Amino acid sequence: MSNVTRRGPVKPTMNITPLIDVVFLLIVFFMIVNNIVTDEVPELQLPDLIDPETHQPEGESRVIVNIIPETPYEPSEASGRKVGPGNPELRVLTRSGAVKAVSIGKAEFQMNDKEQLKAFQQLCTDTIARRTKKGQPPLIMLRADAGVYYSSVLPIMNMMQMSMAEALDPELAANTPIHLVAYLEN
Amino acid sequence: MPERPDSPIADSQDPADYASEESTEIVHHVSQRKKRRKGVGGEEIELQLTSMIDVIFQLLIYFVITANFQIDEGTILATLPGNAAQTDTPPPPITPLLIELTSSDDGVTYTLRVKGQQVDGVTQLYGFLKNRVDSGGMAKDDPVEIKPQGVVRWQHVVNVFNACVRADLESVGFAPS
Repeated sequence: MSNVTRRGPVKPTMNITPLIDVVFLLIVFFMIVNNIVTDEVPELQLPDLIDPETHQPEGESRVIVNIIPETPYEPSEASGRKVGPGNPELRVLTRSGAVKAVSIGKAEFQMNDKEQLKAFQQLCTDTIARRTKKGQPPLIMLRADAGVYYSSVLPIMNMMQMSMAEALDPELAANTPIHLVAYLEN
Repeated sequence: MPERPDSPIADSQDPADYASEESTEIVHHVSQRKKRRKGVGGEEIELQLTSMIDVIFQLLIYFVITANFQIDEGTILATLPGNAAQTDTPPPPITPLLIELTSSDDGVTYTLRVKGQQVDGVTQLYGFLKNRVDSGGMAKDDPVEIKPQGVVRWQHVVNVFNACVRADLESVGFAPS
């Protein structure tokens, strides 16, 4: 087929408008996703369970408490991101088990400061009370690093429990479970 | 009074001159669309998108590389230590099945004891509990208490908890310290 018409030779042009549209959408998507991931959950190496019974929790309203270890998360030190029995990488279990801080959302509280821990408990209480709608408590989730000591997690669990008792009715508080967060599957 | 050069009177020329000009230069009608497409000098106006696309692709590549997607996370429902103490409900009449966890020196391995009897690992613990539930030696809602030593890693604690939940036990909690 000839490219020459009665008006003269046709200049071939590429319509790149849809391409730019798609690329812009991709950029916006990645920008938003990046921010959400960074804000909501700090990077932790979660427990990697044998035959996990974990499930995706349902419900939009959540209160996520993160327990951050003293030794920072270093993805380069591990061959994969998962650790524990499901993965031969066990370095997370040989590093320090001390806890550096505990966080809710963007607020971070140092574990060695009693005043900050009080502030954490108060924020936890306020957040649970605020997110309880029509007698339905939010999902209360505990994200702790796999390598931390149980003795460091226990006081946080106790504080969460006291916050639930303060924020909710006694009966509701007793029947509201804590969701322990782990990897969904090996 | 002198005549202005731009006045209509100044343009008074011989009509024959017009005739000669019309004969030499043919004026075509130029549509508005063509006028818009062509600039003053008759050059086509084009939007230079190449540099913009370059930048956009650089941004796209940056965000694709730096995007850090989370591995799927799930949850297990847990009862916190001493949850029953918050209410006026009496303590359970049945003595809870006690699962003790003690850590080895290296912190990587640990020892499991069920009612003082050593169990080799989480898989064996699951088998033991499942057997008891299936054989009727234990009801699903019988209380189970996990009592880890302070230096046991969270990884092991959650793994033991998971084994109990897998064995269909419904009342699993942590012992108060």
